[in-house]
Amino acid sequence: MPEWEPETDKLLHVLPIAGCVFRKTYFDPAKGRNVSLMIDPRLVVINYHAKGLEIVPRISEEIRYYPLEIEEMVRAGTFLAPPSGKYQVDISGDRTQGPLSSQGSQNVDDQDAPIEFIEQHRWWDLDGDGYPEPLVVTFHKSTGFVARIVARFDADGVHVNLRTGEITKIDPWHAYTKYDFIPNPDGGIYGLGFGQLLRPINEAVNSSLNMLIDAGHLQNAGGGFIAKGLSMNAGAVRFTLGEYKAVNVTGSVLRDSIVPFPAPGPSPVLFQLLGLMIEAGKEISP
Amino acid sequence: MKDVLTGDQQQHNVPATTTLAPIEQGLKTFTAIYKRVHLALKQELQKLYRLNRV
Repeated sequence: MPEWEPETDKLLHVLPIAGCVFRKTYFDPAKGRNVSLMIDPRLVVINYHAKGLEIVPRISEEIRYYPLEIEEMVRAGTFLAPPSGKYQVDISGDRTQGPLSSQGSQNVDDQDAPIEFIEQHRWWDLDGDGYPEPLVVTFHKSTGFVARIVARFDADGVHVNLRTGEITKIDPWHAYTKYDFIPNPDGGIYGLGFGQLLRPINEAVNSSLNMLIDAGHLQNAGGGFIAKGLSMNAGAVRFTLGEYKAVNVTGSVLRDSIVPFPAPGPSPVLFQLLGLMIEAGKEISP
Repeated sequence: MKDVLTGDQQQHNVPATTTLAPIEQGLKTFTAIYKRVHLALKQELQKLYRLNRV
């Protein structure tokens, strides 16, 4: 597994920020070996109040496959081809929504653009015996066309009542491992990281800093009101270095006719508050 | 304590045990985090063990 070390490195860097990172460990038939990949927690959807990954009835992951990968999987028999022959990039949905939108928008004109699928590790009663089986179901996100269904259990994981012959229990295998930084205090399944803990302070710091910079900018830039009685060229009055402009009024009238915009400059209280919030942020993240 | 953990020497001629105590105290939070990461790594390795067994 050559990607194990870089993926672990990435995971350990993302974990303190995101607070929760998933690892997907499975056999990749295309590579012919096991892989263990870091999965962005925003792409894995689980019931928020689930007790744990082992007992949650459904885990959904948004996956993007390139058309070439899909073609290879269709030819290898691991993916079903849709009735139209080719999977299409979604052009109807609003791609500004959803976690994958932050990873770059899809260009519908690009024939090589990746196509979104949903892979669900779930329970589903396919054989209609009243007991759902653990399966991995992959479907095209925009059309809902099911591309692949595989079993998520081994033969030795099936428990049968020897008297009645009924299946009593199936032990599924699990592909996802959840790495938590700090457990969620509200009982949610996603852990907390410095990203969540520092976010309100960071937003307040950003807001204060913007206000301070804006106040300083306004103070430096100047500007104000000129009375109509002052006969000067209309529009902004610009000076070159060392220039004196001739006006047809006296100094006192000129002084009375020009009123600068009141710009008190950056507030010292706001600056102190900024320092306080930065210190509070440092206390949270040692 | 934060400064000690980041390698900042604030005092001179201080016994090593005096410095070690706040370091150990400061690392408590991290120890709990390492424990969780270690537990998750164990679960991941168990999955790999199962895959290699199949």
